[in-house]
Amino acid sequence: MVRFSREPIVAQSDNFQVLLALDWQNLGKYAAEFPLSPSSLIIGDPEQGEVPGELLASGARCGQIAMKALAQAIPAGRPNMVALGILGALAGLPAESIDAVLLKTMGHKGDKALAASRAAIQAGWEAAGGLPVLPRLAVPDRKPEGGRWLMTGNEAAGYGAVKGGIRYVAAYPITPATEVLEWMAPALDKIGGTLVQVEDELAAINQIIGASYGGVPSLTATAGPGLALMTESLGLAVASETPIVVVDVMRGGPSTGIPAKSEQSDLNIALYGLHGDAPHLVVAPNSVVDCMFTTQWAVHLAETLQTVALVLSDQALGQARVAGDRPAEVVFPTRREVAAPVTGSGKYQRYAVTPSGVSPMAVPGTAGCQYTADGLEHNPFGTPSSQASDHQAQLDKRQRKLTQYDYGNAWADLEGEGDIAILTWGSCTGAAREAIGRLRATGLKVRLLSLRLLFPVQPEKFAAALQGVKRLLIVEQTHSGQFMRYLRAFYDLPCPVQTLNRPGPLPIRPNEIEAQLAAWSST
Amino acid sequence: MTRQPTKAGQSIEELFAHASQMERTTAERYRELADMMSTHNNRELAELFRRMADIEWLHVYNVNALCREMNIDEPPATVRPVGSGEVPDFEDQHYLHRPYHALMLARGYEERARDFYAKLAADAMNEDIRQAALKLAAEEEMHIGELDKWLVRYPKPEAGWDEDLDPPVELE
Amino acid sequence: MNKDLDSAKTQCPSSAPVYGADDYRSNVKPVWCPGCGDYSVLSAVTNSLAQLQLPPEKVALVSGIGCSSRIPAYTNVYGFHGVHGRALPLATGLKLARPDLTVLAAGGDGDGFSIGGNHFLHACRRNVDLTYIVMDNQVYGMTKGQASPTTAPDWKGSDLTPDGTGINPFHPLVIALAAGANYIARCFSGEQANLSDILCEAILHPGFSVVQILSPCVTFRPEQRQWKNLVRMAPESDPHDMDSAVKRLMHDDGMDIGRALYKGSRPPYRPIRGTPGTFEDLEKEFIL
Repeated sequence: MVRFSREPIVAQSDNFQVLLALDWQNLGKYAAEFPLSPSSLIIGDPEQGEVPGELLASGARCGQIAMKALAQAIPAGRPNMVALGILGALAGLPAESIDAVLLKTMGHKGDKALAASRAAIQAGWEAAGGLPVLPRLAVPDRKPEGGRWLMTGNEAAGYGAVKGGIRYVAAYPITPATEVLEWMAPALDKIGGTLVQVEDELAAINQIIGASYGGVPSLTATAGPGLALMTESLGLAVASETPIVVVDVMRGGPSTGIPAKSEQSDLNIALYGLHGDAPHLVVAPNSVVDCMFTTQWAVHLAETLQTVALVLSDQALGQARVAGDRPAEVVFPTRREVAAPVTGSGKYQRYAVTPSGVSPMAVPGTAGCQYTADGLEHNPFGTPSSQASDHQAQLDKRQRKLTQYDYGNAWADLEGEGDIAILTWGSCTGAAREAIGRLRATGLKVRLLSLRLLFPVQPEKFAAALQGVKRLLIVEQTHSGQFMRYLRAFYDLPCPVQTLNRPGPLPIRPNEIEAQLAAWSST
Repeated sequence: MTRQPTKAGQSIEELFAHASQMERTTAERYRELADMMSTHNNRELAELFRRMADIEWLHVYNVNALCREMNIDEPPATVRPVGSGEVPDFEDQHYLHRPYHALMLARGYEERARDFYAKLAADAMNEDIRQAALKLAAEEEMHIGELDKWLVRYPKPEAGWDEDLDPPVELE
Repeated sequence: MNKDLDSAKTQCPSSAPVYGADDYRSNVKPVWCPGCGDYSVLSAVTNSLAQLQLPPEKVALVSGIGCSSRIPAYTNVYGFHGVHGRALPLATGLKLARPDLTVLAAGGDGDGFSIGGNHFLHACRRNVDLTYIVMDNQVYGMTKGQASPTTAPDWKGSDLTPDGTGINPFHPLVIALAAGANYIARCFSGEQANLSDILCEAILHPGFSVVQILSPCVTFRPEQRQWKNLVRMAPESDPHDMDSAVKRLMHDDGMDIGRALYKGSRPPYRPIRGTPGTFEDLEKEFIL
C-alpha cells in the first residue's frame, strides 16, 4: 500500500483512491476492510473475472486492464511491472523517476531482465490512458533544505539507538521487530559495536544486562510475546539499576495475536508488567521519523538514570517506509555517571542514597569499587538486606531518580490551540494531525497533545498543556481502552471526555477522528 | 581419597613450607568455622573454634621454632593450598554440633596429619628429611594428646542431639 | 599436573605474590549451612584466583538463584547476582562486551540444568571464553529440598515427589560434551586443593569450561556426607581424545573426579568487532 503526496505524509489516508488487483484470491476475508468510496478506482484483470460484488457495493468506479496478457506478450515480462506502469501513470509520477528506480533495483539482473521490465512498464503506462481520470500529483515546488531520507520506523529506531551510543545488541528475531536488529547488525559492524544472535528472549535481555553492567550501552528489540518473556529480567535491571533499552514494536495481541499488524495494546505490560514496585521509563515515538529521536532519547535517559527504558513503537510505524525531510540532528549529552577508583579505606557504595537518586556506577576493571549487583533488595553497599529501612530507602531512591529528573519539552508534542483537544500517543498521532489539519481549514481549532513520555508521568506539564480545554477526545488503538485507563489513573481529566478506540489490525483513519470531533463540536 | 601429589617430601624447605602453610590454613579455617557457627547461633562451638584458631597460630609459631632449631629459613606464606592434612573439612560440620563432635573431628584431622608425616618419614629420601618429618609427626601426636585431655571434659552427647524442633528459617 | 598452570606461574613474578586468597574475599559472612560444600568451593575459587594472580577488579563472578548462587557476595571481585537460570547469558553479555575481564559463572544444578538448561546448551555451543562452576548437590536446597534434574529417580525425600521423580537424571557433562564445551571436569568440594588446580586449568583453558563440583547439601541430602568415601580419582586418560571422552562420560557413575575429562581445541567465540566508522557512513543508505 503506497500513499503519494506533495506534502509530508503523516498518516494513512481515509480510503484507497486506487485498488489494483492482479487477482481476486482471498478477497472474501478482507473485502469489508477495504476503505473504498465512490471516488475510488478499482483496476482488475478481465482474465481473473468480474470485479467482485462486495467491492462494487462501495460505488467505486472500475477499469479492467489485461495485465497478464500484456505481460505475456513481452518476453520475460511480468504482470507486476505492468501494474507499476499503470499506477505510475495514474499518480502522475515522472517516467524518468520510475526508470531511475528500476535501474537501481534491477540493474544487476542484466540487460535482458531490464529490457523486459521496461517494456512491461511502458505497456502498463499506455494502457492507463484508457482508465477514468484521477487527480494527478503536480510537481512539488518545495525543495527540502537538508535533502530527503527514505526510511522505515524500524530502521529509524536502529539508527537512533546507534546515535545514542548503543554498542551491544542481543538479537532474537520476532515479527515485526526483526528489522530493527537486522538493520543494526551491519550498522554496528560499521560503527564499532557488537551484535549477537541469541537463543531466546531470556538470553537477549540477560545478555544486554550483563553487557551494560560491563559498561557498554546495550539494547534489544522485540514484540509483545518477547516482552512478556523479558519482564522478570526487566525487573532485575530496575532493581540492580543497570541501564538498558528495549524496543517493543507492538503488534496485534494478546498472545500470538496478529503478528504482522499493528495495535497499541502493549501499553499495560509496558507500564505495569514488572512484578513488585518497579518504576521505569516508558517512551513512545509518534511518527516514523520520531522513532529515531525517541530511541536516541531513550538511550540517553536509560544511561543517565540507570534504569530500563522501554520504547513502544508499533508495526504501523516500524514497517512503514516514509520519504521525508532529513531529520534534525540531535545530540544528547548521553552519560552514565561512573565511579572513580577508590583509594584509601573508603568503601564504595554502589547504591548510595543520593539526593538525585542516581548513584555513581563502577565499571568492572575500576580498582577498589568491586560490588555485586543484585536483584535482591540491598543496602547502599549492595549487600542483600531484608530490613524495612533499606527496602524503603532503595524504593524511594529508584523512584526519586525518575520523578525528579527534568525531561524537558520532549515529554510530549503539543500542537495548535483550541478548547477542544485530541489526546493520543504513538501511531494514532499521524491520523490525529491530518484530521486536525482538515478541521482547521473549516475553521475549527483543535489542540493536539501526543504523549512521548508515558512514564514517569508529568502532571504539571499535562495540566498546563490542557489549560482551557473544554472537550477532550482520547484516541487509541486498543480494545479495552488501556490508554484511557492510564490517563484516568495518573492524570486529572477536568472536562468531558470522549474516546475513539478500536483494536488492530485496521488503522484509525483521519476521517473517523474528524467525524467524531465535528459531531461533538456541533452539540 | 586424597592423593594429592605434594612437593613436601622433596626437600627440607618444602617440608617446612608445607607444615607451616598447613598450620596457617588450619588456623584460618578455624576462624572461618567460628564465624560460621556464630552466624548459625551455635555460640558454644563458635567460642571453641576461636580458641582452636588461637592454638593453631601457636602451632605455626612452633613450626617456625622447629625451623630455627634445624637452621632452616622461616618459610614464607605461600599462595598454593595444601592437601587436607589437619585442615578441618567444611563438609564434616553440623550446625548443632557440640564440642565433643568438634574435638573428635579435630582429633581425626590431627591423626591424618600425623600419618601424613609418618609416611613421609618412612619414604624420606635422606636422613635430614626423615628426622624433620618425624619431629613434625611427633608434634601432631602431641596435639592429639591435648585434644584427648580436652575431650575428657566433653562426654559424648545423647542420641537426638541433631534433632531440631525449630529448624532455621532463612531470612535473606 | 598441567603445563597451563606451570606456565601461568612462570608469568607471575617470583617475588612474593601481590594477591593472597583473602584479597578475593569480601567481609560478608556466608550464610550456608555448616557442612555445606559451597564453603570449600568459595575457598577453592579464591585460592585459584590467587594462584593465577588476577587483579580482583579484573574478575567478575556472575550467578543465578539458589544457595550456591550466593557466592558473588562473598567475594571481592565484581559480581552479579541475577535471576534464576540466567547466569550464563549475563556472563556471556559481560564477556562479549568486556573481553578484557576474566568472567566466571556459578550456580547450582537446579539453576543451571533445569530453568537454565537452554542457556547451558547454547553456552556450550557458543564457546565464549567463560568458566562455569556448577555446585551440584542433586537437590533444590534454597526452596527446602525438591528433586533437581540430577537427582536419582528413586529419591523419595521430597514432599513434591514423594514417590521419587521416576525420571532419568540429567547427565550434564555428557550434554556439555555433545553441545560443544571446550573443557569438562568434575570435582568434589571435599578435595579442595584438587579443585583449585582444576579451576585454574578451567579458567586458563580458552573457550567454555564446565566444572561440575559435587558439593553436598547436608541439610536436605544428609546421605551426601558419604560422598567423601564414594568419590574416586578419575582414571588417567587422554582428555584431548573425543571418542574416549564420549565413552568415559556415557558410562561413568558420576563419582569420577579430579581430572579434566575433556579438553577441546575449538577456538573461543569472538564476535565480529567493527572498527569505529562514522555516522555519515550509516546515513548514506537513507539518503534519497
